[in-house]
Amino acid sequence: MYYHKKFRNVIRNLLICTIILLLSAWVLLPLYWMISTAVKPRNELYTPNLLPKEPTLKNFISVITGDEPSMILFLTQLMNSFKLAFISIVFTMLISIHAGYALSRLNFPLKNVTSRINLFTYLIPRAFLCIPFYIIMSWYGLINSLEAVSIPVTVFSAPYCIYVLREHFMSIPKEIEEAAKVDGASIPRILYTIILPLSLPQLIALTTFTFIRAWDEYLYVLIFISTEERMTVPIGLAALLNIEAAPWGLLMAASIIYTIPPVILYYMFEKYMVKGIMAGAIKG
Amino acid sequence: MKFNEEKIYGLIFSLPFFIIFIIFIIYPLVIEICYAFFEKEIGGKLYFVGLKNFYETINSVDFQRAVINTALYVGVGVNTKMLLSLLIANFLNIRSRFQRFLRVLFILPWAMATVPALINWRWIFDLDFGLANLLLKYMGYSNVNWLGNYNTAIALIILFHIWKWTPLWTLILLSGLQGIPVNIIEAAKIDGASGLRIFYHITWPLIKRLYILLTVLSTIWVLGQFEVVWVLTRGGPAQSTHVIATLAYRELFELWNAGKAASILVLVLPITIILILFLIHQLER
Repeated sequence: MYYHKKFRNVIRNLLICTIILLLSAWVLLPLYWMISTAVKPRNELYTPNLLPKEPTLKNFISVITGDEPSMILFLTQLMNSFKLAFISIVFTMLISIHAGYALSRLNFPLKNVTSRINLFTYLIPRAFLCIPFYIIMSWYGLINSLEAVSIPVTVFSAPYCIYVLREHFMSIPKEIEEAAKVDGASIPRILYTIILPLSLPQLIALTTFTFIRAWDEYLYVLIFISTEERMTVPIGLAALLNIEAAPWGLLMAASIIYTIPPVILYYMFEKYMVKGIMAGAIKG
Repeated sequence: MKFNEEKIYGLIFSLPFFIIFIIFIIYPLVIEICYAFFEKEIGGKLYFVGLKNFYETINSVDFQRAVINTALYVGVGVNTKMLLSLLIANFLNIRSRFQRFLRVLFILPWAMATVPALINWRWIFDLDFGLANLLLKYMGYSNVNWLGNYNTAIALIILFHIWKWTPLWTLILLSGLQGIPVNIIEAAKIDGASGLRIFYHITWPLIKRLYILLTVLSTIWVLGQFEVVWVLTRGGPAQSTHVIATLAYRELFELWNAGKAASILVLVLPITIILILFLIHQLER
């Protein structure tokens, strides 16, 4: 009996180890290949081997200094990515702070409709609107500017922020506001001076959420932007895939650089990224 | 005046979002549906052509293929991803000491920017120098043209989807599983129930609703998937791996046929809207 149990434990532990190993390989192998390619000198790329023989940081340096013809625009495009993220964050936060507060605390006509509309906007696949978006934007001559791209990014990241903020505002005790109301404070004043300071962690997390959305945007930049100097990094890099003999080492180095900010942000704010819309479904 | 303050500010505060919704969601949807009935002449004039665009779209091989591919993407990709997520979430819920593993290692694919991950995927499956063919060579097989064959290309598209987004749904399901009171499971364990029976009789009934809603949500989003296909294959080889969104993109930006492009999306709109309304109904009750 005793040996039987021990045997079963050994088997179980072996099984768990295998699962963990398989999962790690599944996640890490592609990433390993990415990093190892980035540190290989160019001549090693085409004599395939798993380990880089003479690892070098030359690719990273070339990407940052732009001394390779394919990477001349990398820094410009990186700045564009930041610019797009910044504009989108400003728009998104302005809209969602106010709408979120209205939905959580204020009684006004069309409240239920607004919250349904919010869900609808959250759910609709973004790509389904790309064709009319392009048509409308070209009517008004707004093509080829990052400001135009920030509109769809805002439209599609605001609903999540509104939802999370609404839930958060609802969790703040009402008594705090009541006291201020008795003192005659107006609603905007309550929001700006009492509620927002209490929501700093949520605001920071949602700012990073919007940042990542804008950072990752591909379709709408591809549609709207036609000059290379105004593109963001994902479009610039993906465009290099279509030329003969893509510069893989440089591409991987640039990809790693580009992917570092979102990874850091995800580690910091992971719990806020999966919250939100589905929280209601978890409860019931 | 004072008693109206709440109403007025409620409307003012939600007005920007309302305007955005009308200008950037409703208006484009209307434009899209209208455009599907028109054709553009070279001179830029629009002609009403009735159902011609729809008729042509439905009868085109490319569209039929795109529908099949999208169905494969949803049927195989989404469901495999969700099943895997459920398994992993369960595993991590029972063996909680491995949760740190999830939070450090396992979220990496999801945390990465999408396009860099896609570029890497293309490099792994590169015909001459990619990792996949390198490993095949070590094992004594000959090269496979991964992205140049329909079967392997569509499989790689789906595989990428699973690789990239399993962590997200695992985390959501895990937070759902953690909402189940521990003492129910403990009690079942004391009564001698095995892991499988605990899952089947306790965990699954409690998590079923969340699982189904998440699957619907993921399905809706995958219907509009664009960049995975576009960066990996651009719809090739021979326009065989297109999904709905990439086909519409190609129709407008490579063939300059806005009417037909709109008709492609409008044809998928009804099922999408039905799924969306189902979810809204479920979440807002």
